[in-house]
Amino acid sequence: MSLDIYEYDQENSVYNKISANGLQTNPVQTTHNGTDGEIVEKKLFLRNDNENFYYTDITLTAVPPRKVRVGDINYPEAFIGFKIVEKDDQPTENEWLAIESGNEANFVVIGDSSTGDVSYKPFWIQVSIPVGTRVQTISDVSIHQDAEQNAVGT
Amino acid sequence: MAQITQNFDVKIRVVHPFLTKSLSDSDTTRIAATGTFTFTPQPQVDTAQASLASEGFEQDDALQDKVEKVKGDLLKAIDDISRIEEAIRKKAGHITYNYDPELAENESIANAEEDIFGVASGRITYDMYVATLKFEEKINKFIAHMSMESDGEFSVPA
Repeated sequence: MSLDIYEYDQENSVYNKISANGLQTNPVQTTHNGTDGEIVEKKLFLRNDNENFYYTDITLTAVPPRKVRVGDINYPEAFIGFKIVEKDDQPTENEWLAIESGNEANFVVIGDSSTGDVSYKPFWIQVSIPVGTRVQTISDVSIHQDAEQNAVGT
Repeated sequence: MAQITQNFDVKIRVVHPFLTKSLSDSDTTRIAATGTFTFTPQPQVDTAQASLASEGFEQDDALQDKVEKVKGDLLKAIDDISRIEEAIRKKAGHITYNYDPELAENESIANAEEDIFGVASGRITYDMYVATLKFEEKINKFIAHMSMESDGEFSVPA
């Protein structure tokens, strides 16, 4: 695939490609205080790695497409929140509140029929962990990508 | 035109709060966004100065070795002196002073031997002489003690 997600490593000034399809070699990682509950927001980038293609109808969806229940905590309304939004600057609290967990973010197009755009397109994710979540690693979540791939010059 | 689909990996780590105090991604994001946190590296060790300091320690070590050697020599000398003194004392114990208790000129020493040892034998060893000195010392202490107890009124009976 030539449409991939990247995370920027500020320390080394490089973009690192996020692994896909369960490889888990370089997942998007968030770390949370499970005792008090914690929200973590992270800036990521979508990029076309091949200038011979351009993309339309691009969507990124937080999977699973609903709130993820944390099964072992003591009250029923405790869920992991997982949201995605296409934005350069960090979204405000109100902007996040307007988005449902498990939402679908639309990028529309990257490049066009005459040019393959290989720049990094920013977006943000927000992962929230409720109060009282026990120490654990959750990896059955992902960012689902759908897109139409088109050859440049056609 | 082709439809493409991928699922990018996400890993959510839920940890103890102590770990998130220094490692949480939200902290990293906040620090990067606000720029309120600055890291000031500690001054590097001056290697030349460290080398000199190390040399000083080595010199101190050499001096300490000398002190230890002198101390050992001194202890050995004291030990030798103690053994020599003990040997002399053993030999001196056999030195004997003989006198004739019947002669008028020896009356005082004859009386002293009789008072202390019960009989004027005319033969006093060095050990007997040392014992006499120790006995005299004890008597003097006893007299001093009794004198203090009686506000200076104590006197040795004739």
